[in-house]
Amino acid sequence: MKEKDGRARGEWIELFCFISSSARSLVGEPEIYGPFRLVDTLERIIDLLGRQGVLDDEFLNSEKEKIVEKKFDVMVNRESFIDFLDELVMDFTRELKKEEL
Amino acid sequence: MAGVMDIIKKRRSVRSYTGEPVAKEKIERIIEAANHAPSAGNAYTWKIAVVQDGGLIRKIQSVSPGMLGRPAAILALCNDRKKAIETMGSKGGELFRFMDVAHAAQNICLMGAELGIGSCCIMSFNQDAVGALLEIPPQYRVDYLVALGYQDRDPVAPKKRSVEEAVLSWTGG
Repeated sequence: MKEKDGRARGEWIELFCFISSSARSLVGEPEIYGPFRLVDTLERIIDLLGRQGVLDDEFLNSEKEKIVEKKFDVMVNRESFIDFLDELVMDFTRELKKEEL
Repeated sequence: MAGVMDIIKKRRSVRSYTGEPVAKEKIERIIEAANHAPSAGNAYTWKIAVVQDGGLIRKIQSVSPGMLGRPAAILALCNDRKKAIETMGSKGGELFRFMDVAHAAQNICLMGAELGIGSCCIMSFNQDAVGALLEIPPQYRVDYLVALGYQDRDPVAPKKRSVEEAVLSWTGG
């Protein structure tokens, strides 16, 4: 395995650790932590795809910025956080409509 | 010099850091503050694993979903479960050891605030995984994590409740 590939793999393993430990923690944690962990994961995936040069585009980067800006609303304004989730779903849905699957 | 209430109000849960390292002397001062926290039966069954290695911090973070941002240091508060039960009975193992690390963590955060160092207490982490990464001796259990670092933006500010909201009853006085 090339050194660069090894680092790339390490970063994905790091993410998989985050996802699996989140799943385990969520068994006993408040319900709202679930949506938070999922959007946090989304941000991490977009970030990793961009950093590794796999998928780096304007739409994804702007969604990542939106997540960074809004995710902590979960702690201070639950309604605003849910509105943000609604917005996120529709952002990705509009993008999906443009795709040929 | 700031009063106690000023420091208490200054302390916030920080989840975004500059990346600037925290000096060893400051971490030692923070641990000294933790040592002055109350402990059931004066037993002090906890010890602290200090992590300043960037690679290990990342690995611990990857199994600690509640740890956000990239802290400069992690203090892992680890309890000797056997000692907790031996010195304080079954309640020592089930309850007091957690209360003790919570008291210690509060002192850590307050001392950090006085030194201008941001902190965040973390419960959302996998105890087994963090223990394995830290190679903690088997009698110890990682019960609490505190992330430390210099904050790079103001944390969100949840509204704090009033004194009236906090009081369940008030007898006499």
